[in-house]
Amino acid sequence: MSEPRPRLADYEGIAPPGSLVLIRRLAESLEGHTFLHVNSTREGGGVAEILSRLLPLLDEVGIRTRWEVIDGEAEFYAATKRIHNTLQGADAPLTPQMKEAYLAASERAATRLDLVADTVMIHDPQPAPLVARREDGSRWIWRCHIDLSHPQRRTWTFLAPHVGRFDSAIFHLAEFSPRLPIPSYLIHPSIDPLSDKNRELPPLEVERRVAALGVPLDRPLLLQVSRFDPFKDPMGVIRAFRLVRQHRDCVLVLAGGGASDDPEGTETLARVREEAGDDPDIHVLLLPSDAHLDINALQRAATIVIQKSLREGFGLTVAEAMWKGKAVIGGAAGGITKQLVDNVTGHLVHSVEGCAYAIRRLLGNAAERERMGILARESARSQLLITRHLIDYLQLLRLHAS
Amino acid sequence: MTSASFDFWGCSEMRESLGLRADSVQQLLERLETVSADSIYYHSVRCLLRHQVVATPYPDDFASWIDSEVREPALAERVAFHSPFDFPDIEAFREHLIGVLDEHVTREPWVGGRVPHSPFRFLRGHLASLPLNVTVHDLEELRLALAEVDDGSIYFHTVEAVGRLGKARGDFAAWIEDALGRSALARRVQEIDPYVASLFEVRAALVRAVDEELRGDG
Repeated sequence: MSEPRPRLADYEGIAPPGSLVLIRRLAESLEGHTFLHVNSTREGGGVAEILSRLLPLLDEVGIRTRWEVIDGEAEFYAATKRIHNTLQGADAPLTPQMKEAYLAASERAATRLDLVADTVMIHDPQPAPLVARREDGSRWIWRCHIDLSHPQRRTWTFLAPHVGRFDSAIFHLAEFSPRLPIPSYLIHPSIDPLSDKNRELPPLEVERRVAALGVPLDRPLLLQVSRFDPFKDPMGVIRAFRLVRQHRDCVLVLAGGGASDDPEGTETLARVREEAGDDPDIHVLLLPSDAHLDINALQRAATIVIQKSLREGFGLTVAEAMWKGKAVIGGAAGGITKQLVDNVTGHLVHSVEGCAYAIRRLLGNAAERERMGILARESARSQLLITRHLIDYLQLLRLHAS
Repeated sequence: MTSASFDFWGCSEMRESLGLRADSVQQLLERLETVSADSIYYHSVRCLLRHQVVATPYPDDFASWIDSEVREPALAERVAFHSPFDFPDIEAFREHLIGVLDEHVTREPWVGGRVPHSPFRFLRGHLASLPLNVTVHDLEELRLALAEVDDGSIYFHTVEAVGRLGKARGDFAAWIEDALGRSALARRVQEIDPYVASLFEVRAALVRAVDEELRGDG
């Protein structure tokens, strides 16, 4: 069942004080502004997820939004996947055929899509060449959701001229931004507190869902929710759990999804299962991509939430746990360091032993867990909710309109 | 704003990466000589806008980086103590900052080239400020509005008024004294120091001060 269309009034009492007033005031001077978003999928993935929630809210405050999707043949998707991976440092060639398929799909899309708007936001590299079709007077913004700190030079050399034709670019973090001839703005991603993944759940539903997953609630529950990816360090989490178990009885859940069509994910999942062995207190859960309510329930049931990444994009699972008032232990990587204030709203760790020590400390100190959880939730409220994202987009539109 | 009423303004900020980084204290020192005043202001004052719930151990980005990434707490402490509010303008603060770094790396030269865990990245902020259509006329109305406006509004009237607009006092203290004639409360409000507190704490302190004044025990 699809989630209900969000309305601004739904966030009253959830968003920080005064932010809805600020949103409406920021939008006043933009009444009737047309704002087009173009990405490569309408369903699945973080970009589609946030657009489906943000655009109705922008509409409600008077911005006339549209959402177009670029698509293509198998060659196009093979090319964009290669571009995506090599921009994040993978070492593989972007062949002339791939470049051709990528540009041809853009050409075809340009004749099919209505690209006329006051502001056009192009998400990620897939539709970037559409900028060649920009009309006079419109503003084009490239919204990059990936880490461009160490791109493969040949791919970046191919893409950079397209990026240079935009009016500005947006990155999640300064660390992800290469040097560009256009302004680079920074906007953190966000979570929606009213989505199935984050909305309040009755305690009985939490218990029912967690029990249905076969996870016991009779002992402290440690949880990591993430793809089965070596950079999320699930093996390190298991090793930390085993160190902790020498001192305290507890249960570990490693929950993730989307491994079925990802060979590397399948391989990592197999290694994680092998490492977990037949330990009945380690639960490795492969969840479907729409298991938002189960993830929500697990996060709410957890005593401590861990995100022990070695490399990380932004790491929104940290924001999700913070919003649920949990004490979070995060690897000191990427956006996790921007979300957690060490020893205040969570613990930042650099090793298996550091993770194990932080778990022991929090398991032994309920007052610290509670104090951290309260501050984490308030910190998420002020910086990581969709309402802040909305303010950022309105400010961006005003900045470009001025 | 008339003399009898107080108009609340709100604000939000868009951050821009300047594509400029420092990979050591020595490089930070060199970059500070040429980076725009906007960027220095962002890292030493505007960063307070991000301290909404929690005040970090050091108030400004320079000291935070020197402590957490370079691991030189003595220098972080020296950098953190003074803010641009202590100087006539941002250029004077720039000179002070350069002087503190220069003196430290001259005295302890191994610090200047120490490799940090991650580089310092220079940003600047674009602030949008606008009236919220929230106007108060007396202390009771001020108390209600203080609890309801956004964090940016608290920041704008306590920090930005002094830091960017160059006023001698924050807006709340000025209005309480000039329009309401309550000098003691104005002094108390002016003493609430946003440089060492989160906006949550600043808001709570303002509300507490007004509550006590309203109860007659201020």
